[in-house]
Amino acid sequence: MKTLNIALVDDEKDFHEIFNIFLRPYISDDKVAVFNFLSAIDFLEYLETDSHQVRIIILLSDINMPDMDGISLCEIINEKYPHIETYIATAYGNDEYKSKAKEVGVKDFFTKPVNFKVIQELIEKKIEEYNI
Amino acid sequence: MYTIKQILYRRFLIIVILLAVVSLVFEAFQLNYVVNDFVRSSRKSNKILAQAFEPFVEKSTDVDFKSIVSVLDFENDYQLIELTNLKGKILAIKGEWPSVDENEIVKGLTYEYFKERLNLYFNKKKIGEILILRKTDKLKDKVFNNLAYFFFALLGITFTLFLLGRKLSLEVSNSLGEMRDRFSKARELSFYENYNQSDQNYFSEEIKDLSQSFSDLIFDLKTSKNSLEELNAELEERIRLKTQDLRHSIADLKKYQRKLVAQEKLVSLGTLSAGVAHEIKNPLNLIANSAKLIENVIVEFDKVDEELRNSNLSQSSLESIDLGLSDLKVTTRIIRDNSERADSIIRSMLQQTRAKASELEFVNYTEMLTKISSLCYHSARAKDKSFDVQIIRDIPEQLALHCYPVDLERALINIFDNAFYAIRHKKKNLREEKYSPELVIRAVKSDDYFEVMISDNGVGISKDLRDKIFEPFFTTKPSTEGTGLGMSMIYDIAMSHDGDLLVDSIEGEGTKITLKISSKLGREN
Repeated sequence: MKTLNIALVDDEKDFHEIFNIFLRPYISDDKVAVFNFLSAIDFLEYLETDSHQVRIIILLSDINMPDMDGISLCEIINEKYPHIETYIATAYGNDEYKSKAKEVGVKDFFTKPVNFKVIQELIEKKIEEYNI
Repeated sequence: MYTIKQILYRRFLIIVILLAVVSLVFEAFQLNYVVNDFVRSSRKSNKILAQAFEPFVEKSTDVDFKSIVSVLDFENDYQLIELTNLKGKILAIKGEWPSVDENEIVKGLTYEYFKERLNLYFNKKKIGEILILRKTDKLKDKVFNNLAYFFFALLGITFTLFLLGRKLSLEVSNSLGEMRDRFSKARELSFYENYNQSDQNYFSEEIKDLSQSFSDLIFDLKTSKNSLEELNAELEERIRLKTQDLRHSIADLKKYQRKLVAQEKLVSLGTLSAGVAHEIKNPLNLIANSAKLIENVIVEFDKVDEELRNSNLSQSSLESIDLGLSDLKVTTRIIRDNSERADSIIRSMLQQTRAKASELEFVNYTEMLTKISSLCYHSARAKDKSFDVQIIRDIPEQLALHCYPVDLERALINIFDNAFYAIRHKKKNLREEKYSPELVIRAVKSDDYFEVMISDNGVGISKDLRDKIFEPFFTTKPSTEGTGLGMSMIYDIAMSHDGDLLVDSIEGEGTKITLKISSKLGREN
């Protein structure tokens, strides 16, 4: 049985909690698995060590984080792990960030507060796409 | 290019050759004259001799012949005298034919001999002939002497010319060489200053003049060069001063611009955030209160939980109710926490700004620094009981200044809070390791500024972040501990005091913040 593995990188714990509650129906059906990381470095470390066990398909990252910002993270991911689709969710919805994100290969750019409906549509589409 | 010596030798050679050619021509004429003279005088004496022999031929007395002949010099001059009558018979002969072909002598003058045949007359009638053969020794001597004189004279003249030329060449080239050496030195040294007239005794008049002209010229050149250099230096100095002025003007302009922007920002952000804050505070208040109400409801649900378990509901329904309740708890907590957070952000935005322009006041800075630092220390202690810092205060007594006290206090509070945060953070990172936190507050008054330097030995700021720290909303603190407005506010406050804010930091070792406040505030106008 296939699972849509989503990595969530955000320095706000509350965002992780609310995201997990929102995705609970998919998680309990084993259609989606969420991997939570409080910083970009944590996620990169995880990929270095555990990438062979779990194949992450989608990355949803914040921009403004201590240690490393989301755009730099997406740049690294798109270079080193091109199979991961990168998405950005941020409170800073300015055009400069949007064009930078596009440059480094980010698939879509959501402005916080994130409309869960849009995320849901994306996940439904991906589930269909990956035949889950 | 030739040296003077070479030129003079060339000229000398041409002169000698010309002289030789001219004297050769002259010598040729002279030799011609000598030979002609010899022939003429020989002919003359021969004629006299012939006339002397005329009576002898007539009378045929041998005594006469001998007496005449005995007078003649047969050693050096005469070779042969032969008298013949008309029939060709030899009447008398003295001397003998030399061992030379007669035909050659027939021609007259040869190298060795001069031959002449004369007719002898008596009473105007030819009576016989006389043959006189004379040696040319005398002529040869003369010619030889002449040539010798000529040769020695030429040699003498050549030698004299050579010596003269040599002398001239030495004199000219030596003094020119001397001059060249002196003036080439003069280019490096200030030759004209040591230039001594008595040194010139060695030179000829012309060279002296030349040398004098040269040294005058060099003196003029040096003088001109010096005055040019002076002018240049003066010009450079003027340009430097002008540039300095311009730089100062630009710096002043930038400072005023910064000050204007800072003040503008403080006021406009104040007005804006005051307006926005009130608009947002109301919905936030509603959200927070609603969350509170939901929480109350959840508490009520928890109370009836036991009853629910005892009811006839299925296990899965109970589980889903439990799950729903726990989700509700989490989400309401998130709503409450985050509305509080939003509220605190709005409050700090309001703090950072002021809606109305504040008034300059004359305050005791020593007191302010002491009061604020201990206030911040105690507030940090209140959050964390284990927190302890050694505060070293190096502040002059009774330091007083003009400032906007509310703004300045806010800036200082932020600086101290940051310092204590950095120290706390380092202590947390180091855990068990030995670390004695220290905060140094040093205040100095210079001519232009009141400077306060606040140094902590906390975590420091990495190079990458140093430029970003003045950006509003930039923070490395977790979102619950800072809004990222502090440094930009301190900077704006420093600017509004005509001052400056400097950050020196070494990552892992500490940070030094220098806050400068203009000492001219309150003195304007």
